[in-house]
Amino acid sequence: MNDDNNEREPLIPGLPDEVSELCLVHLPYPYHFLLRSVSSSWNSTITNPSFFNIKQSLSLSQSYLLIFAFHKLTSTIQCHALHPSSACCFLLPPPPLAAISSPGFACAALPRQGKLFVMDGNKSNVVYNTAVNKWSPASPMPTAKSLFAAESVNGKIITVDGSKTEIYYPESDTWKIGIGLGDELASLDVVAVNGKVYLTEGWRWPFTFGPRGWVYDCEHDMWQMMKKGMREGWTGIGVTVAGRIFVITEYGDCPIKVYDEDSDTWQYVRGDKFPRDVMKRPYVLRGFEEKIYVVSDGLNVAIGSVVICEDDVVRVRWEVVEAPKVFGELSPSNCQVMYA
Amino acid sequence: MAEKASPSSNSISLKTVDGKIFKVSPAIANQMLTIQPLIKDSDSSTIISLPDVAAFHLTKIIEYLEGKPAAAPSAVDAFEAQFVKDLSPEELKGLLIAVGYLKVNGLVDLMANTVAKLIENKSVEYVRKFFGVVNDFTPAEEAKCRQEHAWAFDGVDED
Repeated sequence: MNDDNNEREPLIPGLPDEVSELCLVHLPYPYHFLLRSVSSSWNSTITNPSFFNIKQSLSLSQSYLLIFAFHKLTSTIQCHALHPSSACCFLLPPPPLAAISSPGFACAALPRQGKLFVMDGNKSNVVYNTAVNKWSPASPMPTAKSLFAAESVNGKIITVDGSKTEIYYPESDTWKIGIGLGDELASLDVVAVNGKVYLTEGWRWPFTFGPRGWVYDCEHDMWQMMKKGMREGWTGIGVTVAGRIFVITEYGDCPIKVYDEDSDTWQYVRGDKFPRDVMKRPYVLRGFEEKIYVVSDGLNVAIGSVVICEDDVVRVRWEVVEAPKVFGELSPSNCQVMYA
Repeated sequence: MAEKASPSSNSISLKTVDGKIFKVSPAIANQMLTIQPLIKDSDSSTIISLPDVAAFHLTKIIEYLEGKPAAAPSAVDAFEAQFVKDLSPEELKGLLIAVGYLKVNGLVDLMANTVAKLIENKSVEYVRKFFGVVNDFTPAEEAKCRQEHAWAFDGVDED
């Protein structure tokens, strides 16, 4: 293939290349990858890293929900990209990991850079880049893990399990080992907000003791106990939106609660009821830009728009994007929102 | 008292490839960035030739520049939607090329977006034929490129 600008054919005959390129950056992800095959000049333009930068600078990139789902019949993990407003869904190339199984892998995203990191328990670390629609290997996690989670905080990826805290720096592709929690966990739910990672073991049968929970301060590399009200009221799956922590409770009609740090209490949110009728468990959650994304069994997606009113009353309005029937055998493992 | 006509009242003559002459105001002509340098040196007797622009396309470009509302973005959106609504794919492509050559303010972006929508769910073959792009891949290169994005080939529109 020919990357030499002086010799290459024009992208579109009769049109200056800068205008043709403007036309190509208007193509939505992931269609432009399909059109790489038009000619070698289309291929080199579309796969050039500056292509994504132009798209970003013209505000043409859009947010996509990337869903990792377990296919029950074939026991494989698939990765789907959903464009929420058009309900278009695409299958991503599979991550190059020997074997990923739920819950033995963790994901975290840098949405504005269009990068998604997937780590499996065998220390493997791979990154998907929406700009090129490809996976590439990244520096491996220092320690193998079985039950762990990852969250992005200020451009870094924090991985936590009961014993270890390991921090990945995407810019330099290096890892640093932080202060470990030094404990064994039977389960975990992790969210990150305002430079902190909140980890709870969650309520466990027979519910005799309150759940354990900790908070990791990324800047000071320090773990603290989670406040009692926060731990005990964390009765579902956590998610962060608009700088606040929410849980979707696991009982009844799945009411949503939001945490108030000052009073160490959880308040029920107002607004629509969670659309339980189309949303069957299990759920995976992600918060991004004032919206809560919930993916259910069969990959139906509920998108909750969060409004924090002046008197600190929090309201949520739900919309549902129903998945095609063929997704019936898919159960969600993780989801991330990113720009593409 | 006799006054020279101010330069801004001079109209500029533009000649299209099919031989039609259009008289436009400098305010309109100045939004075609490619001919801007020529306008400064021209007087009312100058005719600027546009070798890549047909009368049909120049009519549309002038319609856009004269009609585009200066007001609210919603009015601009409505105007732009109406502007491209009745154009065929071939006319849109021709207009994109004319607009790309003249570098018309605002219209380059609209045409790029509109043409992108035309091809966004089309096959590679359709896009090649539509733009007259020659496939310069070797069969092996093309197969490799297609293989990498095999997942994206399901469900494109009929050509």
